[in-house]
Amino acid sequence: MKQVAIIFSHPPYGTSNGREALDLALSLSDINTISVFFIHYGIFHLLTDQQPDKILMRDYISTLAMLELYDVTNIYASTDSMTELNLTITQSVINFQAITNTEIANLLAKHDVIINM
Amino acid sequence: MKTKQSNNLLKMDGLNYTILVMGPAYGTQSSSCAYQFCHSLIDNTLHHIKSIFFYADGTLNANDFVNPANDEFAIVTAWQQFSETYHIPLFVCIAAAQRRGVVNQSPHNNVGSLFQCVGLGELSDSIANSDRVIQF
Repeated sequence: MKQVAIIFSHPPYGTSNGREALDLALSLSDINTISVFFIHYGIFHLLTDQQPDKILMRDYISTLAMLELYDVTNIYASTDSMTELNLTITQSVINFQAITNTEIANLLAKHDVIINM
Repeated sequence: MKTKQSNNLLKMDGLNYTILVMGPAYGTQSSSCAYQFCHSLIDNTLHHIKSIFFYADGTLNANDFVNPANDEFAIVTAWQQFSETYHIPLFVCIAAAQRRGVVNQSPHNNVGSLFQCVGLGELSDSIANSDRVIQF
């Protein structure tokens, strides 16, 4: 049993990193405690009304809601990244806490393992 | 005090490592770097490697069809020799591998014989029971 942090730092399109990070978060939650962090372009995962089918991608954004079913409730997003990208996220498919990069760094320091996708 | 304890632990029997490889067999430095790290850990320290897990593009390291020129380093073969010499299991995420054309289904099998196709549960277990996890 370990405290594992999984970092989403790429957008949900362009690479498969996000999808495979989500698979990792769900799978590792069986015997570990998982925290999920959205930083940089990763925060694009939090936007609603995405249409991945138009670029031939599977819609895994809706699968983010599975995190809660797997008891992964420590979900954080960087307010610094939101400012940089000029994004205001009023609603999302998942509940998350918006915190600064400094707060993220402090939280990461408390984890046993960090996996950066 | 804490540092002293962990130093003693290092001297006695080393730590258990899980190695997570996420870079392909060719095109980036990631998997070569992982390979050299693994060798260094075994050759120069008392630490142990519990398992080496290949995920995402890392699963391409299990592709036996990867065929570099004679004068180039053959990473797919090297991983398997390393595994055989030091009895360290090579796990490959089967879902990530299949999406990338690395399949272990007869009659089309291109997974190197010493790679074991497993689910992510294996990684979860390995992480839970290791002292360190290093991602490449």
